[in-house]
Amino acid sequence: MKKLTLISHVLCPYVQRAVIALKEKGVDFERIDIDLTNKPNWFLGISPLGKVPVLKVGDDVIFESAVIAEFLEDTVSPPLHPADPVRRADHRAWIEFASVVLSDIWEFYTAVNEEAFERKRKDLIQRFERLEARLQAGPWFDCETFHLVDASFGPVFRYFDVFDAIEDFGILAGRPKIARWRKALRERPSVATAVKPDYPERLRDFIAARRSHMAGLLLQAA
Amino acid sequence: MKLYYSPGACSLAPHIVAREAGIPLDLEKVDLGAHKLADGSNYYDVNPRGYVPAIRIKDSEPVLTEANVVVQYLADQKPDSNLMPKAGTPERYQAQQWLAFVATELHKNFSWLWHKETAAETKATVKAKLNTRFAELDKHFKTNDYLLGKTFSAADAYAFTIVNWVNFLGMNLKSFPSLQAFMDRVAARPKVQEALKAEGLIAA
Repeated sequence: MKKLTLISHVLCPYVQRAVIALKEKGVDFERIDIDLTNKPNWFLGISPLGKVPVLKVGDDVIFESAVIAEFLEDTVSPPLHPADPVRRADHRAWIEFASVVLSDIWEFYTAVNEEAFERKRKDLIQRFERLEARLQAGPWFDCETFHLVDASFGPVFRYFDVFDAIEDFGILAGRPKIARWRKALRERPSVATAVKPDYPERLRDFIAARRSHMAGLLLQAA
Repeated sequence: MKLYYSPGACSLAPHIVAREAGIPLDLEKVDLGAHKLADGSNYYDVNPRGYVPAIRIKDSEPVLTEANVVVQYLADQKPDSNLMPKAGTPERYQAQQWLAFVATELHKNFSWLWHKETAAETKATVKAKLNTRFAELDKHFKTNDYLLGKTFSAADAYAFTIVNWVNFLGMNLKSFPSLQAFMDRVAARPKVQEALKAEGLIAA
């Protein structure tokens, strides 16, 4: 296979999906983290939306994390989707669900006032209620095998590791299946190493530098 | 000397004062949620109250805490910086009056707005009280560049740090143009820019 280079950002949850998929498939790749507040020209030249992740395959460029995942699925074994078309469609749908949750999380921690913050908190409670109902025996989304859908929720729960240290927002409380899945994901090597060890500190700094309700909570916590 | 800080918290006030005075500081970031330092050690062992700022002056002694006192200590190390008037003068008491005003009327009122236990009615009352104080400051800054008149002081660093918190609450200073002008004036000072960059609050 041609040389793979993943253009990334240290905090980006979508990058983490691609990293986890690459690691699960045991593919060698180079990771280049860029500064998204000061995007280098070479990056703008290859990224049509100016977003990460971008996967360079030799001289070819693939953008959008879902497409990168599908490309890896098409080209590298082992497969991370189920073989059965209906189950595969179900997994893809729940990956979309994970994207919606990521967008809720973004709006939650960037909410500029308490009202918007509370609204998003309630949205998130509902999302995880649905997710709890969907989960089965575990340890993974679909029982015994780790799939791409598991990879897509790794970055979701990672946010809560940082949020939990600020305050208990009551979003994941009382959901035993999610708690078990979250723990399994945290301990999965591909998920654990999809970010650097200083990720929590960097995320806190990123939140603190924004003018948001969560940033206020962060600077008051004591 | 070491300053224990958290980005944008009230520790920004002594951080600014140290830079304005030309006092080199070791900055040690505190994770206020977990009460931990970067090396994983327990911040309660440094400051049993768990909050910032704290400065370590001598290794063998307890840290000095409370923003309005820490800024005075730093300013007094460099009397020529004029960041605090000389002790015993009427001007000193003026400066201390402003520091106490910021600590009690602004800083502590703000704190209630982030507690989830605070009732909505209480939050509304606190916001109204803050707006009263902002109105007073707005009037003051119509005719004065800084709290003490013409010169920047440690009290301004503290007031700037605390009033900046309106940005974390979806409040704004639109009704207080002279107070906003003061905020812009302080933010534009080169040493304040340095401090904001060092804390990651503006792009370096």
